[in-house]
Amino acid sequence: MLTAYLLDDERLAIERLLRMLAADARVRIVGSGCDPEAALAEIDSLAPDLLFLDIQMPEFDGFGVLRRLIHQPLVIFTTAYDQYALQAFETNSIAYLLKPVEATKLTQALN
Amino acid sequence: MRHLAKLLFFNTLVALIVILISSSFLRDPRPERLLRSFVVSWVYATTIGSICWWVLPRVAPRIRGSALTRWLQLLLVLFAIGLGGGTLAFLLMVTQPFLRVRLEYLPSMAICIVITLLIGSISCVVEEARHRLQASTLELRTRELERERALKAASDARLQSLESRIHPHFLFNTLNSISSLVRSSPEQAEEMIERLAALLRFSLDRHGNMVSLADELKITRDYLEIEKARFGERLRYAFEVPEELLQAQVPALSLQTLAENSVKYAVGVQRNGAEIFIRARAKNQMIEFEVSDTGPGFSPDSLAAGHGLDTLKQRLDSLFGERATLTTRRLEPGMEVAFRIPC
Repeated sequence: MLTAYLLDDERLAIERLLRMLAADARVRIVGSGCDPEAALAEIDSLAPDLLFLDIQMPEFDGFGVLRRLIHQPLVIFTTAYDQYALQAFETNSIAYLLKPVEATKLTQALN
Repeated sequence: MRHLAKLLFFNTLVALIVILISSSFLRDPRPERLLRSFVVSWVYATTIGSICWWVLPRVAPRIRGSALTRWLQLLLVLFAIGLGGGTLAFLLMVTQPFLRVRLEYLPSMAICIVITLLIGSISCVVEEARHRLQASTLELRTRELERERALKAASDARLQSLESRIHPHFLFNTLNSISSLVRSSPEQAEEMIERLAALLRFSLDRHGNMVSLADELKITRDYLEIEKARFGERLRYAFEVPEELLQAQVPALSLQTLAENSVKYAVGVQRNGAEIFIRARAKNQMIEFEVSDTGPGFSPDSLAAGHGLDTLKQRLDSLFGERATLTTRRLEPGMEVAFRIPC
């Protein structure tokens, strides 16, 4: 069982991912957040195995979040932009999902 | 090779025809006499035919002038070929040792020239018709190709302009919001689909046109409501438009472009989002539009070509020339983009 945290500045995006992940027994959601700044401390204290991470967010983006985290979880990027895929490859990400996220792609990523 | 075979076949055919015609005048059509006449005819036909085959395609395209002078020149050329070729063939026939022939120069030449003129002009007419057909087919095909190319360019431009209006990321984010709402709040999802459809249709149908301010405000509100579903309380907006201006004509998607600009550079980059304020007012035979926000602002120089503001400026230029202006101004805090058009 993997623990996971969801970070996305859009509440609706988080709600949808929560719903999709609730159906997967391999993942247990330990927390979620819309505000990158506030989420940093929460992620470090919860130390999830997996982080679902949006890239375009206010103040600092998904890559900025990864740079500031002390705890380094595995990352699944979720974004509407495909141009960050190369940059995402340089982090410890295991998947790059394009919004709207497809259920099959999500399952594949978790496999 | 194929040309040579064709030439040979054609010459033989001519010789045969000549023999058939002349044999009907013969009182004594014995086989060996017929064969001898055929050989003579064949030599004449081949000599003159070959010269024609070589000369005509090189000379005919250079003949210019009215139809009458062209024909006269062509007949002159054929006459010369008939006489020259005939003489050559005659000399060949009388000097060769294999076949005993009795030929008289002048009657032979008369026949040569008549046949050359006849067959030469017929083949010229046929060739010219064939050329004309080829040329018109080619022209038709070229024109069709050009038409297709123009159509493709037009649809490319339309798609590109749609892409510059409706950013793919906006579309994907909106679809993401809808797929989230579709279970938790079906009514809100439905409303969002309606707004998105209205925006898409407006972009496709009206882009490049002038629309009433009422329509432009409606589509701008649709756009902002879609973004509000994404950003929630981070996006706050207000309109201030006097009712008497609602029927004024404005460039389609002009206010929407400025609203989108504020969403991108103010709401999207601040944790607490931003306020967007859209105002219109009449002023000295002009209408002035102001879109301001409480974002960190941006430097107009840093905007890439093809950016929404850049495109809007170009559109205003082409629609109104110097009578329209677009300006940006820093506020404390925030940014204001304003444009003025004649009403």
